[in-house]
Amino acid sequence: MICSVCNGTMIRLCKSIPFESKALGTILVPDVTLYKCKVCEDSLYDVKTSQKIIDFVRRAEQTAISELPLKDFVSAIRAAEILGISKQAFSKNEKIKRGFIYSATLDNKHYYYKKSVETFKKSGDGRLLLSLCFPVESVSENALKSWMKNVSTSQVPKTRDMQWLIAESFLPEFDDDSLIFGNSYISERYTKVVCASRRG
Amino acid sequence: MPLPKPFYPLKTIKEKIRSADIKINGNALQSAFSDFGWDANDIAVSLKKLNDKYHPIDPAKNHFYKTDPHLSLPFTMLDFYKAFKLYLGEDVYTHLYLKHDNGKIVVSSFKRK
Repeated sequence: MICSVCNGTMIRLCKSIPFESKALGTILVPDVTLYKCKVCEDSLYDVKTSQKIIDFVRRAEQTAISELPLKDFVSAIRAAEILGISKQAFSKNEKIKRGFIYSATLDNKHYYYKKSVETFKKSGDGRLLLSLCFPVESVSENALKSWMKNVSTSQVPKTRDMQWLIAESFLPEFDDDSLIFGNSYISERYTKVVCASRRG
Repeated sequence: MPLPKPFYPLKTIKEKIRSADIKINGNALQSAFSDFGWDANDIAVSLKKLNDKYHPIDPAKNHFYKTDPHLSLPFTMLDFYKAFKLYLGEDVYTHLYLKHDNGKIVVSSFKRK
């Protein structure tokens, strides 16, 4: 297959690919079958694979959203009030249905993340970066594990303890060299943070 | 003056989509998700809603925009569409072409108009 961008050769691969999520930053989607250009790295997916990628990203986002403190969520009625629209208009809004406002379900009821509702009111898109919603020092172990599953280049931990935790989580899988040279998906900045914390 | 018509008949495009003979460029998938929160099925459904009917009086109703030669692939044309309120009330800009070697539709761009 020939690349449509640079006329180079495209090869079929199965690998992890980075995907940009508004909630999580750049996350890794594992085991994706794709055609990738050897020269310009442009990629093509079939419909099934594309669907798999989006499903993975949505699941990862939902996991992260469900880790947010419940006190920061509001009911649909309150969310509609904040937006200045009726409850009916709120529940029929296609953007809201498609996750432009973060929501979680508890006892078959939808609750909406207040910050996301406010951002939606301002800009029409309430998908804010979730790392900005976590006070880093108080991140629970579960949240950290969930974060680890979806390594995000934009979410570099700020405290030394968290850097250590993350560095240790990588230990069984990676050594220094592979972190620096072998895993292109881990950003240079993130690699530096991990390596620095491992050296102590 | 001949009416503007896409290079690839929409009937062919829609048949290819129905038979899943479609590839989506990574950037197109990324921008469809970022701009609209859409997945691959939404892209396919919205492409099936395209029409090439020409509205001389109200050009905003036209979906088809233009055909241009592909910048890299020889003997390949790209069809550009700018559709107002195409699917779920969204304005879509997309361009696509048919690959000669495998007969698949390639969606090379898909974003907010």
